[in-house]
Amino acid sequence: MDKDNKEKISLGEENQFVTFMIGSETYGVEVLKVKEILGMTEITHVPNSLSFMRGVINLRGAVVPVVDMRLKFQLQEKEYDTFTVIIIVEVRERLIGMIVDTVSDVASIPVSTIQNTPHFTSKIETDFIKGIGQIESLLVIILDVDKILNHEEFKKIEEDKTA
Amino acid sequence: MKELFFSKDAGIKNIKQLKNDILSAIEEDSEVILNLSNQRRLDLSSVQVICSARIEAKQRKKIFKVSGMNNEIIKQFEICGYMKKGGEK
Amino acid sequence: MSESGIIEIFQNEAREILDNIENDLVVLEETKSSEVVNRLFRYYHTLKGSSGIAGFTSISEFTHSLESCLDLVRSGKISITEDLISILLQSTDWIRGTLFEGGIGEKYDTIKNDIFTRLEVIRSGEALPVSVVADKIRYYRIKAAFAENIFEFGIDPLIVMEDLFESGEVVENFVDRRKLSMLSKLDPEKCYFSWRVVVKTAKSIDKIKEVFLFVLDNNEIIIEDITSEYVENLDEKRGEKKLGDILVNKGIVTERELEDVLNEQQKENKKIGEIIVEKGFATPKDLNTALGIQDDIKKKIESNTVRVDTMKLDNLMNLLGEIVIGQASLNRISEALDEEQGYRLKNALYGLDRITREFQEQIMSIRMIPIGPTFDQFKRFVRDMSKQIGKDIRLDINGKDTELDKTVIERISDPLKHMIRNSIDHGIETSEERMNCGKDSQSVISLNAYHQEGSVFIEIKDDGRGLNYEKIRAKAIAKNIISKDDEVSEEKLKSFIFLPAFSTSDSVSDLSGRGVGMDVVKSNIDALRGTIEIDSIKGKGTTVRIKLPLTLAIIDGMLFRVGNSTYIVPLLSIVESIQPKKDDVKTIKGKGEVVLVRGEYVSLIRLYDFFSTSADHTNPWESLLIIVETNGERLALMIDDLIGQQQIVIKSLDSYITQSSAISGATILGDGSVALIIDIHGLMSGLKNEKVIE
Repeated sequence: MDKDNKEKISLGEENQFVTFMIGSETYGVEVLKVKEILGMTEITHVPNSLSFMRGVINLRGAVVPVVDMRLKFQLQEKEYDTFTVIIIVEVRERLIGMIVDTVSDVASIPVSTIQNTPHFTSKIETDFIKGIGQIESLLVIILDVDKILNHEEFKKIEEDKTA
Repeated sequence: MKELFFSKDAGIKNIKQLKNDILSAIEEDSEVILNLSNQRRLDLSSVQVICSARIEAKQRKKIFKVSGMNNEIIKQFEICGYMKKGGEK
Repeated sequence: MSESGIIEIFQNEAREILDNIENDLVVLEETKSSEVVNRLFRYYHTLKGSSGIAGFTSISEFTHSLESCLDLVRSGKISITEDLISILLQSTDWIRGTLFEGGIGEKYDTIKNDIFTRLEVIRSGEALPVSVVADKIRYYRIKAAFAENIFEFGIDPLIVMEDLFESGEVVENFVDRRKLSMLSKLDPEKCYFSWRVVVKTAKSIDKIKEVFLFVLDNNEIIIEDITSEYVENLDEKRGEKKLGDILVNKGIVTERELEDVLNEQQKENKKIGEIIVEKGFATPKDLNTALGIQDDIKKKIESNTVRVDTMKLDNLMNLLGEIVIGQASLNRISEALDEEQGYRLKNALYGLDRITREFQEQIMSIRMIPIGPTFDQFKRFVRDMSKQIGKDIRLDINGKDTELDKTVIERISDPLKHMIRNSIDHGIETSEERMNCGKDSQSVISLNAYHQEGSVFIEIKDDGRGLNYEKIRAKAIAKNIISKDDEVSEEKLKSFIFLPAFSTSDSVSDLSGRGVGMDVVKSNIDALRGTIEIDSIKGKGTTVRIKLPLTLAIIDGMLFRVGNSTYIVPLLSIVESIQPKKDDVKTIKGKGEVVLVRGEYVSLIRLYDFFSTSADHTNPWESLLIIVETNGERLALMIDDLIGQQQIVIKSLDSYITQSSAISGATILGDGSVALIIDIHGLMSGLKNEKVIE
């Protein structure tokens, strides 16, 4: 892989990722971004919110919004079960929960195997995908959690911060 | 006690007489009050004499007071440091 | 301490000093007070020193030149002009820029050079004789020792001195009467008195000299301008006079002795303490006691405060929030216990509740800061803006000491600025217009803050032309908010100002002013759970009144249930709860569903609909209604059940989570679940906006 790509991906020599499943795909987020992983908990619905926003939960006294990744990726909804987990990630100093089907493992992915995102034809917003890594024969879609909200949604966070 | 009036307008022209009048009053009486109610204003020489009279009386362990001052004279006393604002000293 | 720590401390300090400087500059322009000049001088001096320590040498050097410029003002060599104040204000901008935005590069150099050039012009242009700057308060020391034989010339020195006393305020008067002997030894035809007087006056030194015109020959008359020296020493002198008072109070010296000492001090420039000891009026030990007392007094004034990082206060508040939540869950447990134990736990909790409330009040009071500095920052703003557009405007400030929550103060500043700008831009007429309607050519904007009925009120008042209802009406018709034939009250017309539709108005200036961004102002105030109202009298002026809650973080809330969800409404908004009769619920065209409450039709909101959840009942007469009120308007909220009231810790929700103005935040209940807090004001205005958009 060429030098330019390497810089764009901006990953270290070998990085650790929390990997999880949504549908049949395996995804990964950098371990440093993950604050904690919770089992499914009671979610309070909030009116007039983004379509993929499930609501808010109580994370030890903090009110944290949670995003259903199936809705975010425009996949079919699935009833929550005992495997469903909420991965709490930190995005621009704020906590956001991601609801995923099941969490798999913490895996090291050598930088050399990570490829820059090809031009997906998928429905998934490619912005949100940092690259594709490989653990043996398994392909892992690496997410950039900083982009879990799109540009417009972000601006609101920034506005809040300066307010 | 002797109350002293000065019949003329006190000033440099008759200051010697004023001095002598006050001095003899102090010598005669243990308490002398100089009534200034017939004076419109004073000049520096008369203020000096009044101040000096007070020293004289003090030395003789007698009392010398002034009374009957109008506002202008009070102001003059203030300027000369004989009185502080707001009352006699 | 780390270097970055030093820099941060310095930046905080500098920010405060710069605010003070700006304030005082504006005050100085008005009052030309020498006290303010001195204060400014000290500010620049402090800034110079600490910027040097923190390593901001460019600021240190820059401030040095400002300081020396101030020194020239102080000594009367430069007079206080609009130009000078403008440059000095601009220089604070430069310092701010350098301090907080890096301030490196050509732009800053250019500004700096420009400031220096303009200062230089002022400096050189003002090197005029002292008599020209006679319009300022000066201090002159006059020594007048008259010749012994002065009476022979027909001159009464008392008349001269009387003239001098007429020329200004005599701040010091020392009469040397030592030459005067006792009466029996006195030659009454000679002059013995001499004076040393300090006069505070706006007159020039020449005018003072005129007083002594006829006695200048043969007499010893010395007149000096001691303004700079005098004012500098004044604080010290006051301190020393107090020392004297302490000694008198303690019975160590008599008043008479003290006076001697003070007189002595004027002749010889010695400390009072020294003279007292020299004269044997007091022992050095007594003196030390008195000095100790003096120090104590000073310390009491200076050091009864502690600086606390606001983060720590916020943390404390959050922790208190946790305690309140913990209490709520204990309360829940007490419900589940058997009667006796439950009763005992409840009793204990009741006591705890009292303490937490007290605790909360205390923390809130720490978070409360006076609004003064926020108001003061507008002095410069008003000055700059009014100069810019050529209107003569005075800013009156009242209620500076009124305290508000720190967060509220931070968020109120921009809306206030906005409204002041509106007043200046549009509300206030030009000087000519004002003259034509018989008003004072100078207009007044007044800011006022006060506490009332558990709320804080802030008023922005101008004496401008007031709202033009005809134009608002025309605009509302143009915007299709009302139709041509609608009868609309002035009250209603005023409310249009806050509509977003109105603020996008293309030509706001012909709308008699208010309009631009008033919806933004309103949403800011709403976010603080405050309300805003406008009073206006045509031709007389406009008053905007903002009402804000005292505290932000914790409220008393009423919990209720809709289906499986729990919601909260601030207790203050609730009027009553009722179970309506079937006949009382109607649908009125254009108003939607209404319910008759005490003879009045009130809009009915089916909350399950509003929140898109389910409810036990869908017929209002089977459910419960809570009647809520804000700004004199009522709503009926349809709910399933009331749960009870409790203290609620408000956790704000980021605006990307919900766009709904009806949700002011969330809280965590005793069982750990999250409940949303309904903001009645937001709910109502949300409904109104919908109607308008329809």
